[in-house]
Amino acid sequence: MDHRDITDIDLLEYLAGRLPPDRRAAVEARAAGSESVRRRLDELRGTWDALGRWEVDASDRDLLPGVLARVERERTLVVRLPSRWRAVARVAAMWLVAVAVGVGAGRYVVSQRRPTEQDGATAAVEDEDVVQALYLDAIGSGDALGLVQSVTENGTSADEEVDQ
Amino acid sequence: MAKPARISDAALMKQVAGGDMPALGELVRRHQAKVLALAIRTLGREDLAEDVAQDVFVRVYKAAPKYTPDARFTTWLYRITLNRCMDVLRRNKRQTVSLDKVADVAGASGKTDDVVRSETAGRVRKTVDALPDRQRLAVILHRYQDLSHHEIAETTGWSRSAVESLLVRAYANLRKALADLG
Repeated sequence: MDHRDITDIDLLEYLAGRLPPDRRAAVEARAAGSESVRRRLDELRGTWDALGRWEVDASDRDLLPGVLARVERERTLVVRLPSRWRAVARVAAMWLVAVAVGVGAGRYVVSQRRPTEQDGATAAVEDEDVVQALYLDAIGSGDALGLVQSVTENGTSADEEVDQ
Repeated sequence: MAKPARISDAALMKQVAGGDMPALGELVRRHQAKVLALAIRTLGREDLAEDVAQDVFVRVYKAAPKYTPDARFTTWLYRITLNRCMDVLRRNKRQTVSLDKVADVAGASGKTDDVVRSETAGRVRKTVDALPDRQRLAVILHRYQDLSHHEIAETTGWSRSAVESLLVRAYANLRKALADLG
């Protein structure tokens, strides 16, 4: 095997102790026989060891009481209403949203029909429309768990950053 | 006497889905240190990190009924943690400094070992913080969360080749900035 077969990723995984035995042996053999591989490995080991000096010891923390308290709050919110009342509340909430949308749309239409009204009044109606829109956005924002791929959204892709 | 076999994370998740709170407690005990450390390193603030870490386990609890063990539990757990950290970072814009400035902070003659150790740790932290976001996350997951580059790809959703490039570039940047510590 040519030493160019040994990539920096191989060397990093070697330092992390995550290479399978055959690949590990290959890295060691190449490092023993090649000055350039040995130098690359030494440089990466230096960086690896330096990074090890940033220690974060969270082993003495106990998150459980806080987690259980939050879970209990969530459960209380859900079970406080009997299921049939939950269904009623859900329907009522939908009606309220529908009425709010209707009122907002009605105000908008009225404001469009009266272009001679003072600017301030018109602006106030528009502001309310914006609030309605944002509220509806929030309702429709889907994923209750928040497990969207936010790591990869809002910005360049990993590949693009690599090219930077 | 033989030790009882350790129940898997996936099996614990099944129990949590059935409302078994001790199973949730066991998952928290097993993974809280790693989740908290990931949040601390990603956010740079312990108070925010603890809040995020607690929220992560609440989300685990709520997601348990729908959980399917397609990948390692920790891969899924760290993805939730990173997503929550990203949400928080978007709200509280992260302040970064340039790698050049970090490198200038060296020098600690006449100081006690503890002070030097603490300053060195602070310098390493600032150096990692100064990396571009994706390089920084890749290094944190690789060096501190013990994830291989394959697992980092699974956790973040980035391609394997992208993760490899990010890691190589990140370690090259770090080598320059931390050369005197190595």
